[in-house]
Amino acid sequence: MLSKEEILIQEYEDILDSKDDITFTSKELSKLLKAYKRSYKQLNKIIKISDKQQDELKEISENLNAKTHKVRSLLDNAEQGFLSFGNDFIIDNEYSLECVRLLGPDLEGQDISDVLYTNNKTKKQFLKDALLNVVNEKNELIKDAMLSLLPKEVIVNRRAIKLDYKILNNQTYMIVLTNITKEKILEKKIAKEQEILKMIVIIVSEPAQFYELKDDFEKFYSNKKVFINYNLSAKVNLSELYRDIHTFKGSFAQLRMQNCVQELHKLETSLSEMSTQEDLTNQDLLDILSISDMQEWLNKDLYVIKEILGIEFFDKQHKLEVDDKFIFNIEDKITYLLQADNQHINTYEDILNEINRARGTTLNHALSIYPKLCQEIASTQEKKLTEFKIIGGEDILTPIHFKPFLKSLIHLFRNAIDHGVEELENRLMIGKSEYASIKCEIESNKDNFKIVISDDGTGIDIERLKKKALSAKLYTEFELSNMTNKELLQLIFIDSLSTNDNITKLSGRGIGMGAVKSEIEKLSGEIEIHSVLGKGSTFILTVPTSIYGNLINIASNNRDNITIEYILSPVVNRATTYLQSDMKINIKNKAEFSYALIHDIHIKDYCSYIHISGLVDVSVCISYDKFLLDKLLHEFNHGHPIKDSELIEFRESISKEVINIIIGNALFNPYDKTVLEITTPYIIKHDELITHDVHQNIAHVLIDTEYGEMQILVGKF
Amino acid sequence: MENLHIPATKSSPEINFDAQTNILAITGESYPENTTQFYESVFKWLDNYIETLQDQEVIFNIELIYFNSSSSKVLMDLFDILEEASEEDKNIIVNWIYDEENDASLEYGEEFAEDMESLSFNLVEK
Repeated sequence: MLSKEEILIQEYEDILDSKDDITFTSKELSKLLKAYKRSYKQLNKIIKISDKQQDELKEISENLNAKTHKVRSLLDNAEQGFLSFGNDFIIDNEYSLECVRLLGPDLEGQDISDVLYTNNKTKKQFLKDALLNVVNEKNELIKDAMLSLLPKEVIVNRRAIKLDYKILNNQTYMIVLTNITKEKILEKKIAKEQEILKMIVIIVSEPAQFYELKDDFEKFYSNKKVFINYNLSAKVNLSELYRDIHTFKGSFAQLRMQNCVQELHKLETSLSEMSTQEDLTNQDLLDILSISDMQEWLNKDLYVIKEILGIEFFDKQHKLEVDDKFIFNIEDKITYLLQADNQHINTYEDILNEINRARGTTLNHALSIYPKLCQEIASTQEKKLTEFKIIGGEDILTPIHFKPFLKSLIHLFRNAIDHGVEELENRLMIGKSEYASIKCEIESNKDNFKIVISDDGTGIDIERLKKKALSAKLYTEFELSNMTNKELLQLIFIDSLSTNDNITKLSGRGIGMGAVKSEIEKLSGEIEIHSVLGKGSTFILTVPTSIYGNLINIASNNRDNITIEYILSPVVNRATTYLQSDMKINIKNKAEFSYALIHDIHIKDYCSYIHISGLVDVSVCISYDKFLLDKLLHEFNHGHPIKDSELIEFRESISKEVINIIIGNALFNPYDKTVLEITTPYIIKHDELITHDVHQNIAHVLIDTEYGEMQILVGKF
Repeated sequence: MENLHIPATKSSPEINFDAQTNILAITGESYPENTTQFYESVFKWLDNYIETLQDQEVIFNIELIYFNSSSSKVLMDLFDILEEASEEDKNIIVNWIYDEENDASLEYGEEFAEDMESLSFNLVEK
């Protein structure tokens, strides 16, 4: 469309073109003038308005600059950094000074993920992926929710930086950075101090436990070399060592002795790695023990304790130990008087019970540490637990050699919370109370006592156990399909088989439950498991008291009262499990037990013996039918054929190996070597076995297996 | 006669000319890329509309927050047309609507109103 002016110009150009002599009529000129006037007026107006607009614009821009400057200086002086980036994650040119302080100069044009994670490729990629999801999300609400899932803290240039994300508009995102290094350091310091305080409180309230553990650990590391039994394979030693380290770790964790826990955890990890080593030797074990400065580990924790409690605390303990022995003697005397003075039997028994209660040797008291511990474990995992007490067991006295077993129960409690009790959200989701329940009840009768530990957690997943056993190549699918639920549940006691895939400081290495089983077997006890998936598990630990009938007497060092059965029962029990579980040999009949004179016993050909001293002074002799020994040899040699020329030598070494394993596992107490000393095994010809006294009865047990009999003799040879 | 409605864009105002109610409105911002082209249809419609007018009252509401220089030229051309129409006894009222806070807008209105003789040109505070 042509404007009025253009039309007019055209019109006059036409007039000019059409005329030979250029003369305009007054009408034409006045029209032109009018149009020119109008244009001139318009032009002036436009210029005027335009000027005004420019003034206005200038003012606005000045205001804006001033405002920007103010905002900038506000942001620059804020103790937070502000930066923005677009959908391409490239940082915009506007960012506040604190960003430079925290992240370095020249941020413009850099990728935000490169700046926040300079070295960590995985985290960098994670942030990129997460941001990409945010950018691509259309729904504003979901976008906001996604932002809240982005990493909230990063470490850049050794500073801890808190990140807050904001959506500025569809294409721009802002991060507010806050330097929280100081807070983090403070937080860590406070957490550390809290841990120390907890440790001190526990140690002060349970000094006996602390000194016992300290002594045990000191004994352990000063006897490192003795600990490795060169008669046993490195694998066997490793698994023993592993168990001990694991139990020590658990015990130190119970007392919150953090340095020991951390170091033992590291050692445990190294040992775990060694277990896969094909050519592992006992020397390797010794080497790793030699470089582990356990004394230093302990000293670090002790130093902290000394700093707070003072050196006197350690002196006081020394006196306590004297007191302990003093009480021990009084106890002995009372026991003696009890037999002599029937009139005051009730009084004496009362005094004995009081002393035992004071020494904390009732079963109830011995377990009373666990409820408190359970609460602590639960709270570190953000799980809730109803308060519970140990019920029963006030009348059961626990002798010193029960300690490893009672200590091992920590694994059961830990497992109950760690694996049994569900996460809080999960419990609420399936309609359970947020407070999980753990119970521990002790029942007793004249033959045994039972510790019943139950939880209302998720129960044991038998299918998972099966899968684990299968992938660990412990059983074939066929064998597993033929096992009863009861048998399958026993799988949880196999070392290195845990249904939990995550190794935590608490559990998951699958070693703890094996420790419980091996400890209870040393006491000839057994564990029964009931578990309903989704409802919870119950562990019934039965320990016979008939063998330990004279518990007080054993504890009070009265050697004469320790009977041969004290040794025999755990040995027979261990031998049975060894044949059945470890060697997969079926036992036909229950073991037969009798007393006999040595010349009335037909001793089998292949025979080895071990001498036990200390609390008792007896020997154990195990002999085999040839078939059975050859079966054991076959198992040990993984089915490889053996040359005839080597057969006798092999039989002898297997005979020694087996007695070592059985006696070692049944009686060996790594925490207190003074109770029982066990010699290395010897081979003896069956007609060379003689007793000191021909009229002395010796205990005789025959275990009848599908490959022949195993004969166990206990007596003074 | 058909109404003229052009929705607003980021750089052009909403045109809402209603031939039935005789209320015409230009609302928004005006800085189109090609001003002449944008307003061509507006002027065409207006020329036709004015021709149909008898003595009915026409209200022309203009509320522009921002306009560029070529838009001011267009506005002046527009007011010229309306002034001419008024001289021919058409009953046209222009309401220049401005925001209380925006002094400049009032001043622009005064500027445009200055030379109008026949046309009633009101400055109306929003």
